[in-house]
Amino acid sequence: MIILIIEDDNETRDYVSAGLKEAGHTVDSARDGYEGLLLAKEGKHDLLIVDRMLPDLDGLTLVKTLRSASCTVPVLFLTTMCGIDDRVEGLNAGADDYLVKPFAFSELSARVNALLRRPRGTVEQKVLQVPGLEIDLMKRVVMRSGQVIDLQPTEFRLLEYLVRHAGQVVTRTMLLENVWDFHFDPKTNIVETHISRLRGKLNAGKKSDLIHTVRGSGYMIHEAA
Amino acid sequence: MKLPSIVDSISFKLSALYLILFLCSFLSIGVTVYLLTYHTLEQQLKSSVETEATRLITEYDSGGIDELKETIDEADGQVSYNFFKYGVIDQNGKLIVGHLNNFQPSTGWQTIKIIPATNKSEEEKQDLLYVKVMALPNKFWLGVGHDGEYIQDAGEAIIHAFIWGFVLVIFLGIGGGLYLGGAFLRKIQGITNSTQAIISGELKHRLPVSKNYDELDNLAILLNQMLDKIGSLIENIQQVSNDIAHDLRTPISHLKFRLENALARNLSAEQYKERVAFAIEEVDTILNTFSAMLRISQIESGSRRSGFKIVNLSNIVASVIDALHPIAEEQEKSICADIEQDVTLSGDKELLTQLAFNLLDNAILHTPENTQIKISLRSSGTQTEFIVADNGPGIAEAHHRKVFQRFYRLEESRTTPGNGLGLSIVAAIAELHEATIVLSDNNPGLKVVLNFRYKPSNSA
Repeated sequence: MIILIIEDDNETRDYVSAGLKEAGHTVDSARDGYEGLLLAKEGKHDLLIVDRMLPDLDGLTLVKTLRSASCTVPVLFLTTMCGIDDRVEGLNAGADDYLVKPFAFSELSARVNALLRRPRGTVEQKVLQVPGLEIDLMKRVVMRSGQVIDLQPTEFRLLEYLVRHAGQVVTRTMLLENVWDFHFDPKTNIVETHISRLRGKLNAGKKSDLIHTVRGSGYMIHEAA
Repeated sequence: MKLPSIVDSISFKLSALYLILFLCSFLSIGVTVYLLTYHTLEQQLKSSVETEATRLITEYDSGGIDELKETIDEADGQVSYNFFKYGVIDQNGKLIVGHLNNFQPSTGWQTIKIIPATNKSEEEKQDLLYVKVMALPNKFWLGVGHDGEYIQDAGEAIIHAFIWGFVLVIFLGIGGGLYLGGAFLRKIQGITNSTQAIISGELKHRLPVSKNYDELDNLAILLNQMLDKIGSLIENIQQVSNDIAHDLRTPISHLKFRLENALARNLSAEQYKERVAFAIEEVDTILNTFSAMLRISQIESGSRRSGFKIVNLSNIVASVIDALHPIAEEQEKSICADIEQDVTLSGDKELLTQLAFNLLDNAILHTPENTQIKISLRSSGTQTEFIVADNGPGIAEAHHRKVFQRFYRLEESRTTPGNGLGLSIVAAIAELHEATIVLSDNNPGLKVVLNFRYKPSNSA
């Protein structure tokens, strides 16, 4: 995949760029808003990583300009930790996801993968499937190896999110934002506790564990091989 | 800053403008009065002269020149109450009857100047005579005159009165302008002095407010309120700087010790990895503290208020309970919720979620096993009350206020994880929503009561 990173801070840009190259992506980079906009308009990129604060043309304006030119490439916004309004502004401008600096590379990597895999404009699925698990989104029923599993609404949403991102690492923060709509950092182990409950219900009487813990990053459900 | 002179002040300029306008209208009134008076008096005089002339013509018609002469002589004899002057002249201007002779032999009105008999020496003092000349048969001309001096006198009197009035108005106007300008400048001087004092560092200084409560006082009151607000914000910033200095230095120096320690020893690659991972964890903690502090400052700045929307507090509280319920259960604590449905208020959803989360999280974190936590949300129309109460050990009353301070941690909770900012964030969010927050003894335990006052929405 070809990823364009628009970031004026050399260290961050090199750090992200090196990590993404290691993960097998092709990385283009730009140091300021205008250069970034010119490169992005070529339309060859699968994802843009855009810093909020950029010289010449700020990230918000850049994303707005792209979106008004009907450019639908996924955009991941990078914001500083003090700008608590940046998230809403960024998403309103047309960004698909945001990440607060400083971030761990594993967090960025997980989000990049989620964005690259995001189906663009496909028909809404009614049933989600991974080996040994089936989720009927209409009837809100979960089946493990043909056996119905009774889940609480939150557990259902948690499992749905994991299955929708099967094959990808899903971080704790991604779960907090998408399952609970919590946009702050709770010190309490909410995610861990809920995952452990979900595991308990899914794995009852089974030998294999569906939800894998990825150390230092998050969780993952394997998709069909 | 140098103040402008009184003449340059706005009040003075305004007064001067009013003065000019007033003088113009004063002048036009003067001219009108003068002309009207003059005209009226002249008309009156002419009409009485005409009546007299007509009477004489009638005499002439009935008795000829002799009859006329008799009448004129008789009238001339009554000098004390008759102010008319008469004369009949022939075509060459020769006086035939009476005394008045220096008029032209042509019909109509004439004004002639005569030197009064009483003071011949004064050339200046000339009487003005209004003369009605009428033609008699046989080429004779009858002239009837009347002294018009009093009309001139009246006119002059009016002009004098208005000149004096004019001078008086100019003096009063300039005087008033100077007084008003001076009073205004004195007030501005007061404000200027105070402002200079504030600029030079006396931040507690406030602008003077007089008891008149005029526009300037209202402005000064408003500016003082602004200065109060700025003052509290500055204090806040100083507080944050102090907090950073005191409470972040410790973990950063710990980290430094550990790293130095690791460097000093010969460790295996695996051990180094472990230490680095540990250091990253420490740095994350520090960064979290930083972002929590910045978050508090941002919330306190009030900028989030512009993004307030109607939010469903019941749903927010329910989602927080849903998230924390398993954790409470894991720690053998029970949550009993009594949530009124669809309680709404104008606020920030993200922040209200964090507020509810922090309160419930604290109740779970700082209580022993088997604690009962009660959460209730009630709305009475005029106010909304959100209560988190537990039957744990509670907090001594002396600490009830202090727990909202940044980095304040109770002795007994030093060992539990946390940065001492959770309740500070709660306090900041409550303040942003103009909600009061009160801690009280739940006998036993702690009761936190949040009270959102009802605010009528502007759109309604």
